Amino acid sequence: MANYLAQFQTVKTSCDRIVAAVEDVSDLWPTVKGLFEEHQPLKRAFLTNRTRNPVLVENLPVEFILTTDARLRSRSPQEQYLFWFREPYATIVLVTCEDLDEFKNILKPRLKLIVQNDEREWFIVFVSKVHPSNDQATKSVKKVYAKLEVDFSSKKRERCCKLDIHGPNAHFWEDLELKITECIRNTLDRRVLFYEDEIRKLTEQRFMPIWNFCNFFILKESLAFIFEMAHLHEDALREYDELELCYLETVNMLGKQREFGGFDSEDDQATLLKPGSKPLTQIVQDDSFREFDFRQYLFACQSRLLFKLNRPSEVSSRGYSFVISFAKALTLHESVLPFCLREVWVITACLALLDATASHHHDGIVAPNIEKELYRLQGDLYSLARVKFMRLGYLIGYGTDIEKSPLNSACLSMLPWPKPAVWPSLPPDASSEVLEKEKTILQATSRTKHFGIQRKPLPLEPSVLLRVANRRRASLSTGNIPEIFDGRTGFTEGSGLEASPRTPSSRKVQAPPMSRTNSSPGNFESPLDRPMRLAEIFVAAEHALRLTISDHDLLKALSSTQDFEHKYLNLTKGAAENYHRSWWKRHGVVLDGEIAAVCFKHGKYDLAANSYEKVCALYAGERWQDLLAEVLPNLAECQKNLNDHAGYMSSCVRLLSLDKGLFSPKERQAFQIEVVNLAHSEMENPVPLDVSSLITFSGSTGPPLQLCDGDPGTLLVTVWSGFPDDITLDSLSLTLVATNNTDEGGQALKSSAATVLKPGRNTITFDLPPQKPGSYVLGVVTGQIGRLRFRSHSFSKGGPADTDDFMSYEKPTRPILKVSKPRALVDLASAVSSALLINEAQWIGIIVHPINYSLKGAILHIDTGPGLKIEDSYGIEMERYVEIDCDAGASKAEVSVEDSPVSPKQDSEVLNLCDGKIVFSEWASNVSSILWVPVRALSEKLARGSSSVTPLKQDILEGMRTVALKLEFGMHHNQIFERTVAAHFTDPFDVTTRVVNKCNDGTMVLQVMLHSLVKVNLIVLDAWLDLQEGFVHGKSEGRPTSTFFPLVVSPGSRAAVVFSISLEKTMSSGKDLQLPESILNIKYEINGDRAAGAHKPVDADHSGSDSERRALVFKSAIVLQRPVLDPCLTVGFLQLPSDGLRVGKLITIQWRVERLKELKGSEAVEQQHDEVLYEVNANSENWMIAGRKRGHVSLSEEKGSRVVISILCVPLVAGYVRPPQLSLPNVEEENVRSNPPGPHLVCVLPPLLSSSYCVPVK
Amino acid sequence: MFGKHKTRSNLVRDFVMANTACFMIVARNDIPIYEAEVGSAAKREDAAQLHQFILHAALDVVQDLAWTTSAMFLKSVDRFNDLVVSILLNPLYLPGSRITSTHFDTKIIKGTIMVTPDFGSKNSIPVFLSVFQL
Repeated sequence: MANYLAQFQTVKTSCDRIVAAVEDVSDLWPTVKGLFEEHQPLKRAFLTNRTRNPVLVENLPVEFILTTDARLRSRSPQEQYLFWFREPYATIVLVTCEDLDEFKNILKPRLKLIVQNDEREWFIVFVSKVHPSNDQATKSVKKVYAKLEVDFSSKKRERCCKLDIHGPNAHFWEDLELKITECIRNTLDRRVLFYEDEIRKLTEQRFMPIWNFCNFFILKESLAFIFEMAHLHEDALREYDELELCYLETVNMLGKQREFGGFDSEDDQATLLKPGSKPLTQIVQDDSFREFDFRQYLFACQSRLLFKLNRPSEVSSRGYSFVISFAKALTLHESVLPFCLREVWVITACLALLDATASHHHDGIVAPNIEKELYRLQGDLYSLARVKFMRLGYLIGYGTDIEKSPLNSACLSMLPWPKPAVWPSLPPDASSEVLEKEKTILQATSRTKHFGIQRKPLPLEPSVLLRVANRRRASLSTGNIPEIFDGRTGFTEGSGLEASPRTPSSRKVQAPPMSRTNSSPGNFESPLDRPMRLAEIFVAAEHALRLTISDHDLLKALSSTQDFEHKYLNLTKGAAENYHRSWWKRHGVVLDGEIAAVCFKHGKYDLAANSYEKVCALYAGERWQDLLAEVLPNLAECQKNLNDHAGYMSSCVRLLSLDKGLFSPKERQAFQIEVVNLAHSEMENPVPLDVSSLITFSGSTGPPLQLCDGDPGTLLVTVWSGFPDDITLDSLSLTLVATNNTDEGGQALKSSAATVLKPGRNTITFDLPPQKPGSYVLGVVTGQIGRLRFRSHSFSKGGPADTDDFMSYEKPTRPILKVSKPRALVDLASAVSSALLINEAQWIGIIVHPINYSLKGAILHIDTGPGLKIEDSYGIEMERYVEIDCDAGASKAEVSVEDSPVSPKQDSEVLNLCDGKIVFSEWASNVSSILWVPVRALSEKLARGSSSVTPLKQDILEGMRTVALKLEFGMHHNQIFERTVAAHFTDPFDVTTRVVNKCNDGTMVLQVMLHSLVKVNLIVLDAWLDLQEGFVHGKSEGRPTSTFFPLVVSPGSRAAVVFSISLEKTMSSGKDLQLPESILNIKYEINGDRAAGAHKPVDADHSGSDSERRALVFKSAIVLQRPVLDPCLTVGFLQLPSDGLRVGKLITIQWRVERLKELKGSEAVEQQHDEVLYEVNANSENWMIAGRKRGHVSLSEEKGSRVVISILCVPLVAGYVRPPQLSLPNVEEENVRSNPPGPHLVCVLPPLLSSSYCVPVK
Repeated sequence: MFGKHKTRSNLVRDFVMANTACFMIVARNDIPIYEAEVGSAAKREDAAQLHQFILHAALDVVQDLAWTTSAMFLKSVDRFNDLVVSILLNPLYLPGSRITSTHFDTKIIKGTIMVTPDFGSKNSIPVFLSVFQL
């Protein structure tokens, strides 16, 4: 059967679609062929798949072939059996007949003959060529067709359909499609069953010696082909999968080692997507196929089906695995395969897969996750090709062009060298090439890293190439070699795993037994019997590769450094781009870094910097510092070359902030020098920079600094410097942020002068101006070094760990400063509330009470108000004040303060007033004290006594004096407390007089009542009266009638003295010394304490001994009124209406003036006799007067004439009030008699309630 | 119970090659918080860096895988030449808390965590079981 392989191949390529045979009985095909082919392909065909489930196939193409066609006729039954898949799936019998007899006699027997073959699936298409207008013919045709149906259709299956060439045929084509589909389905089922049967039979013989894989393959692929023709790609794919499995089993069977293949020309180019690249006959070997070609063939078939199924991502994923596993197989045969065939094959395979999948993939058609996976696989394929390409490049001496990055190192240094049986030797005529290579090697000096970073470059070799290459040469023994090694030890060689960056399969392939014989006759004769030099190895490898590689593109890519780099960049970019698309940012970004390295090499620093930034951001973001330390210097160098000062400084700072172990102290110093130099260089603009990672800060440990509102202070802040050396800062400032108010930017505190930060911990002092109340945390530290403005946000981790939470990188912000809300820090109050003596020098006490705040050095400004003056001649006494009567607690507190060592044991002193201010002493800083200020309240006014006629007008304000106090205190006298203290001054007595008795002899007893106004005992030593005109003393000559002096008047009590006086009978006119009013003189003494109120005047107090005590004299004017002796006129207050007075109600008040006797003498001459001047006086607070207050009324001169004066007024207040009074200013008081004689009161009722808006109450 | 509620806050991953292995604990935000080079072989000086590089790249795989499987232990999520990366996710881990499990101690500290799966004889790769925090 295997002999049919070639034929099978031809058959397969010659037919690609399902065939329907057309049995043209009535020569109709030329007529209908066009119509039939127009209705191709089948729109919807329900077929049965391998698992016997119906599957809808759309657009299934069918080829119609006449049974008489040579293609069908020439086949032998043997052939038909073998290649059954190409036999027709349906037979369409085309007939026409218009005559029933003809049908019965000729057509029907012929048809029976045709359809008797059971194997065929057939149906009859009756074609009617009759025009519909021809009724006769139409009828006849109908009859014939009816008969046809009766004869050939059965209940089970309709086998006839009718095509009217001239009529509408929509139904027919549907019918035809259904019938063809039915036939195809049935045939397909039968054939599938048949093939499966055959395959089963063969499979059962698998372990028998006669078993032949080729036969199995033909059957299996035939079945696959049947499915593929029927567009059942899924099933076809499964057949190929099974075939692959089966093949891999047989190929790995022990004892059946066969030729692997891979020696043909162009075998280095992967054909894994080209099923027809090699005819099967060429790869057949005994009863099987060569693995190298056949596995690629199978994969090609699979991928073809996958592309048909529109699953390019699956091609990618299967392809990737295939490349990996196939490369493993290549590894097994590496010793016999051409040099580096594996690498070349992998590169071409990856590129082929990439091309094919990319061209079949259209964005957005598949689900996002599948798309993502596809991109990821593309990325993997690119990086796989990239690694192999780098390996080839390295072998031919382009290693110097490969960046020794972690990625390249990880890829290459863990990837074993190729292991050819014999390392390629130098061709005889290559000496010039060797020289050139040597030159290149010598020229390629490894780039010194910026900042003088000394770091051993990462290796790109798994082990020293020199040794590996020489050891694998025939004539050398390993003993000769050590002198040419550089002594590096590498990863254990011989881990024969296939090298790919990522190997998903867990299967392992055993390393091939290493051939130690290395017996190649050619090499023995080689003149190069000494160890090869590196350049020679490169040249030899290059020559060997040229033999291996048939792909021109690849050859070109390896032909020069530029081409190599170009290809390398393409692969890297491809990988990066795809990884980015698949959201594998780490892979993508790392590859970006590789692109950056190439850009960097060519001086494209801007591109390089961009990519390096990304890499750095990735590593920094995830804090993989070791990796960051590798890339960051490169970025810095780019930035330096680009004159990106800010970026460069930032990079230097980032380098400094990395773990200390990552760079040597010398390197770190170099970073710092760069920063400082740049900062002080000629930069145009100041560069802002965040140095949070390098300079950190924290407040001092312990409780926060507490300040009162308005107080300045000093703040100690610990600043940690991460610089390796001392660094001088031009300025350093710190912001404080109020915790309660984050909107407001914090206030910046400046450190005093240029600061030098030592490495590690530094304590910086900041002057703190007065802050608003609240609690403050540290905000930002900013500062300047040259043109560099740096800022740091980060709190130190240097302090003790607060929590076990190792994940928290930022300590919770702790308040560093608390400024309390404004509160009373001190209180000033007057010590005494009771009245002091007016016009005498008195001590006024001012209590100074500090409230938990020191008054050290406080200054008190004292400013007396009008009517008060400080007695300068006396010092101001200051003494400790102990509150006795307030509460015990306070006094206890005082005691404790007193005991404290800071307050000296002093509690009184005399201070001098200087420019209206006094300075507090030290002892008074923290204790309450009292200041005694000698003052004198001045009043010109003479005290006036009161009587029932002249009542006392009390005026509180009269005795009131004020002292304005201003206390400046606090550290910088920044706190100010102002208060005005009031003091009440008064006369010692209030005097009231009344005449208690009139004796028959004309003497009157005048009682003078003394009401003490001060809170202290007054001792009346003497009293005398200076009388006014019209009065004379009685017997006692102005002294009280009885003397009980000294008379002690207790505080608030009354005492009285009685004088006898009498009216002066004869008016002694012309006496100059007569007084307008009487004066009462009282000589008294005062006891008392200044702490309680009125006391002895200051001068008396100071005058010394008690014996010389000075008596005080109090004078008070009293008014005495002579009785009316000669009444001419009488004024009578007329009765008020009976319903009384009411607030707001208008009333008329009337007086009647009556002349009692005729006017005579001088008075009558001077005045108009018939008129009287009147005046109404009323307290305007109580009354509103509506008429004329003052005016003349006519009153006849005759005795008994009378007139009534009336005035309209409104009472304003309710209660007993004095009514308006009528006086006659032109008439002497002694000539007017009043009725009632003295002041009287009237009752005013409150106003009536207004009921306008009130709801009546039930 | 916790399978559905995996938060990737902390990964313990490791990575073993021939005779050398690297064990890392990766915390929230992919930040490495613990790293140990274990294994008996003479250390290659650059091994640590390469290991870190490979483990970091493997986080790409982890980010995809962690959400698609309910398995906590991913024995071989990634391979790099002959290095295998395996991962253990710990969904019970509360970010920020300390690891107090005595089980963890015994497994990590006493070294019983290393097992040798059958990867053939010569190239056998001890794969690290790792404890894993989420």
